[in-house]
Amino acid sequence: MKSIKQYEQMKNRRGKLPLHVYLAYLLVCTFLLTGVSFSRYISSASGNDSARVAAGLVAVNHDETTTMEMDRAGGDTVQTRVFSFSVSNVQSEVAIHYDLVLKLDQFLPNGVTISLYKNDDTNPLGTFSADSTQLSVPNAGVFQAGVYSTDQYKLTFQGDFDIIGQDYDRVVNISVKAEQID
Amino acid sequence: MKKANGGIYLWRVLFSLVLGTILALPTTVTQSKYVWQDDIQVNLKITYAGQIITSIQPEGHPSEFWVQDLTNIQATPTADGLVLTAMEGYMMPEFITVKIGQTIFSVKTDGTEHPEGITFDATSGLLSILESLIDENPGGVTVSAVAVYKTIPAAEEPTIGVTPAESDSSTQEDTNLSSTTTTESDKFTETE
Repeated sequence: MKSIKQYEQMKNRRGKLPLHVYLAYLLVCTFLLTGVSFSRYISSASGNDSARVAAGLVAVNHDETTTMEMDRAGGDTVQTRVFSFSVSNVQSEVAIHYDLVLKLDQFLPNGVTISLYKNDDTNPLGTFSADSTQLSVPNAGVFQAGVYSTDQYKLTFQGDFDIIGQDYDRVVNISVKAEQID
Repeated sequence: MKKANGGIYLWRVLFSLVLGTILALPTTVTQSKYVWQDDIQVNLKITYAGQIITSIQPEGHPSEFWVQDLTNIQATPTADGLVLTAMEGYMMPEFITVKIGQTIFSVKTDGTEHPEGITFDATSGLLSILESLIDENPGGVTVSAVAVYKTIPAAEEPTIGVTPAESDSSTQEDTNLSSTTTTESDKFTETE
């Protein structure tokens, strides 16, 4: 049985929390707010214009002509078209790495190849295979913080009219996905 | 008493929340990450069947590959194709026969019907053939047509019975041939 004194002490302590409970409150609140801060800023843009800068991170420039035409009439049997584009970091204060993802709307027909080259490399970064509509190049480039740099790319389209037997239309979507390095 | 205790709890929670916010502020700035994306769309357009014969003897084909079997029709190769013009006193037959390899195609000269890959412009007289059609049917190309003699209405022609210089016995034969050609052309595409 509790004495009157003990009862009074308990009564006085009610309304006062121990220190570890305060710290627990604090920790929970801090985690909550920090968790929100981890959310990333995402911006997306359609690059039909010649240059685009988003959040001061990366700029993509490309050839004005975005339609590659091959015509059997009046041309060579094997024809090549080149689409050039570049990725630069516009002196961003953060280090950045980026991936390239190329997607075709349909499989390529026989006799047509599409390859991606970086800078002056003679070997392609990748080539669309006959049974694939996606070409991914993870970590295609890295930009150091505060150092301006530009990567040049060439997308080559080659058609062999000894193999091609009809008209074709294809769409290639090039995505440059950049992310700040931790 | 209970009310007072509840108020104290609330203030304590609010105080922790504010303090937590202050502590989290630097973290918010330093741990933000930027993700960015840009898309470029590139179109590839391949035209295979757009090539037409620009001459009756295009490059890569020997002259004997092409045969013109035309009667009272003048054929003029141009940059756009072969222009067929009926000679004076004649008009184009209803059909032109184009034999490519072993396949015979009939082309209406009024431009209303033509097989795929062959066209005839009634206004200009331009006959065009896709090269792919020739590639698919090897063995040479023969263009045949016989002009039809223009019959002049009696009311407008006072000198009835006088035949033009061209309308000799061979002309009559030509007309018959033309008729035969037309009959053969009843089937749109005929394979021998």
